Amino acid sequence: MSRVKKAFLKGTLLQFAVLLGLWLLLSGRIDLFHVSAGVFSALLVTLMHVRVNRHLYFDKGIAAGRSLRVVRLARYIPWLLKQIVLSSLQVAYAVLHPRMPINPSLVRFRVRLPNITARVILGNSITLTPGTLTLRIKDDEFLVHSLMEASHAGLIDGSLPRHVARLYGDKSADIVSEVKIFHKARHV
Amino acid sequence: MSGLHVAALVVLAAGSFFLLVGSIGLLRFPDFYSRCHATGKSDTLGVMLLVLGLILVEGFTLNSAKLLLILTFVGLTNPTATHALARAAFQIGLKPRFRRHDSGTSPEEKKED
Repeated sequence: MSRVKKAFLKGTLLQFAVLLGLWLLLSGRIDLFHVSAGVFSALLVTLMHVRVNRHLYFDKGIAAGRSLRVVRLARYIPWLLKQIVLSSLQVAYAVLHPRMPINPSLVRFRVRLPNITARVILGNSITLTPGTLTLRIKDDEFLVHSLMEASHAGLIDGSLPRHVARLYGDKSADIVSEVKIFHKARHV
Repeated sequence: MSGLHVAALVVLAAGSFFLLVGSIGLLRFPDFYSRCHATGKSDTLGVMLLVLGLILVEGFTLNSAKLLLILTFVGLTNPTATHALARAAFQIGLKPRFRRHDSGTSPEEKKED
């Protein structure tokens, strides 16, 4: 059996296990009826999902280097939470300040990430961090709306993208390039 | 009142504070995109803190696990929805408004024209 096929089977089994675990967690009842209904539902959803999974594992563009390190995720999430708290305080300050010291801008940059999932993680992390908002992702080019200068500091020095790349074991220092900051929408 | 309840109260109050700030920002900010910042994000921390406070009250039970699931899904869907809104607005050509609080055209821009 090829390696991709093995990964596909493993992923499908994992999906079934996660779905069943979710069912047990939500129902909270362990008796024959509820558990067998859960097994049936999880199996049904997994079967319905086989075609999507096949796409995920066998399509080259999506499947390339999709080895997310779960251990690194355990370090990434607390780091992201800290960033969220810090920038929430910044935004709260701007909202409550009588003169409202905001200076919106558009930030465009290219970032080298291994696959689509990594880009989704980066895009969502940017949006989740207050003060920055992903407007557009075209291939490896991100367009971000930023509320204040302090908001996009972590983006253009590359620390947030670097953390995402590290999730996939990529430790190279400069993955962000062609940073451009706009204060007019015309030139974007 | 136990220490845990006090902690829960503090966390719940902080969560409410950030939700309130989000609503004030929604009213005060100048254009669609900056308002997206106010609603989409202050809500992230606000809702997270509220759910965290509820978990502290609830303790180590099945309900806490469900609350944790809510936390996860809010964290995943909230930025996705905000991005979808902002992207749709950007695609139909809504221009962000920048500093100098007139309607999108700055003095520099007029000079260039």
